[in-house]
Amino acid sequence: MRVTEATKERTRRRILRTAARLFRRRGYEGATTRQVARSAGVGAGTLFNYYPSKEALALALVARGLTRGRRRFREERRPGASLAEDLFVLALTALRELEPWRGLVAGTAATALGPAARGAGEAEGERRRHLEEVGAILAARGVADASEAAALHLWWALFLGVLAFWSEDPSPAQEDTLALLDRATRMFAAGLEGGGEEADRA
Amino acid sequence: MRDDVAELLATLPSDADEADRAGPAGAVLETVSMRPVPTGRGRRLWALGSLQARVAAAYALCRARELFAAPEERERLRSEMHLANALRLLDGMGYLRGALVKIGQTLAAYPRIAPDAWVEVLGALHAEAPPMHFSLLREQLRRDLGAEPEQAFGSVETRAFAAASLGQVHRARLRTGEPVAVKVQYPGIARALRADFANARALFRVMPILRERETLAATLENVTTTLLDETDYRREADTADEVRRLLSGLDDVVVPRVHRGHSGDRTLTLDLLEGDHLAAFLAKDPPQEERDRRGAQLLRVAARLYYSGRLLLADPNPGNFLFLPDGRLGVLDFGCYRRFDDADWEAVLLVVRSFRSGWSDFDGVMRTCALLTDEELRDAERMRFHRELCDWTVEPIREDRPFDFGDPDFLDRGFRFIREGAERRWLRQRPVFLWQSRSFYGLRATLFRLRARVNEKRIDDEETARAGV
Repeated sequence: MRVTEATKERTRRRILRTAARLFRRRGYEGATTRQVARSAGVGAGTLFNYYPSKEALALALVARGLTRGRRRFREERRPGASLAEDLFVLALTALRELEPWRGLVAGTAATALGPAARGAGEAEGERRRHLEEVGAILAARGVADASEAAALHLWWALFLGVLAFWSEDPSPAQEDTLALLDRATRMFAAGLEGGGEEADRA
Repeated sequence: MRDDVAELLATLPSDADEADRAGPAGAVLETVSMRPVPTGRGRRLWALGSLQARVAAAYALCRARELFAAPEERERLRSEMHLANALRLLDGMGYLRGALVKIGQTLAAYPRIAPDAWVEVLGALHAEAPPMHFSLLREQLRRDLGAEPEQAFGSVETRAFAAASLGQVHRARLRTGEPVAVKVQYPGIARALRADFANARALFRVMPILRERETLAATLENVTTTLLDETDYRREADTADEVRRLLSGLDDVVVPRVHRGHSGDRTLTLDLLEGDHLAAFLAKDPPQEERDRRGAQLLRVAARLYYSGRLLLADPNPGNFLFLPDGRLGVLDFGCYRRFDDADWEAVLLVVRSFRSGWSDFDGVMRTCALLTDEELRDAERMRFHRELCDWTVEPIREDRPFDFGDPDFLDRGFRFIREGAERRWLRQRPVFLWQSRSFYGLRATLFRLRARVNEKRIDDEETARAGV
């Protein structure tokens, strides 16, 4: 029987939804791929066709969070915002969407999303789309034209650093991450524009 | 000198090397302003720990050198060491800026409690939480109030209209249309301040040659408590309510209401008052009667809170008052109040009773309030100083007539006492009285700028009678 693309996509989503539910309920360590497959109503082999490991499932969830975060960013960004503020909102909306998977980020996403981990399917695609968004933000301000590749590389490293810090931030409501993100985006913007902090001084 | 000590000292940098490396204060300021703020507690501790080690090492070195130096050389060595350490401290505080600078600012307000060189350099610091753009402010409001700002309020202005202690203030409107001022704290800054103070205590323990070390330690504790209170917006809301209650009988004074439903741990929403701060008020060159009336309002507010509420306006800087166009005085900012406990209040009553009976039992007053020892009480010169200072303090309430607070000689005499007391190290007192002095001098400095003539005795008599003091 020929499986249509639409069916494949539905199966993929069902597996991911199930994994999300089980990870939330039992924790990443407590849930197994076998349980995910059973709860999703597919065989273990089928699951591995879509996601070759538990890490790949976690990464897919993180990638989905990042996608949603970008959507939220477009809704929430303020017209006339400074570069630092736009980057802040881009990262913040990602963190908000990743909140259910905070524990997964340090172990899996940071390494799989890292600059050294090229070609890792969804992760690589997500990295590219995120950086396209950042590129558009920079281009809209006419900054970083010649040095855009370096700037994007730097931003990605910075963003992953914030993610890693956030994933283990013990402060109430991760308020230290908020401060770190604020300072990091200001520094980054100031580096590209010069005096980014002044732009926001009320 | 023992060989191992000599070896240890040899590994330490010389003063000159360190001073060169630190550079002049301006250069250090420039350097630290570009340095990122460490946010993790571990990194903060590491940074401060290394600062502490450097300061401790420098003092150890200075002490060792003093052993072999002539007396005048010792004084010079100490002075140089203070300056070098001021720069080191500034460097470290700059790195931990965000909160620790508050200590520097506060110590700078007490001349000679810390060595002069420290005060001079620390006085150059300006404590400011980083400015928040609206998206960060929105996130803080969302987290604190559990709703989007647009849902919690009718509208919030995107730009701040004032800086606040460790945050900023925005104009907003409630959904009913009522104008309010929303004060929002920078994320994590209260915890950072707490951590920094804990670390600073350790830092101050390594200053073995400070003669007033104990006073400094007590002051630091007091400063710590009061400034930490400033970060507690729920406490500030309670104080605002209490001040409002205490001043409710004064028709020409307005205290903004707290909007509890729009306040939280990091957010404080109050009625918005519109009016002039002191500088803008004076720029309009108000007539003498207006200046006198405003001066009387300020003194009435301070006296009512003091006698009826045992509440000390510990930071009476002009920015905390607003001159409303309808003639009322607006009271703003409720973060820096000190409350007298029973023991401190007893000390206040002791002073009042002594004054009313021509400074009877002055020794007892000095023992309780200035913490003088028997030996110090026998020091005629010192007792003369305290007596004259007390006389200056009560001068405006001696006679039932308007007192001219605009007389520069009066204020100068007051500051001369501070200078003399500081130079001779005679300003030791109960910690709460340090705040009282700050309150006192701050208020009189404001009245001087107003050039107000006020019958303070009448106000004092009425308020003490009202409170049954």
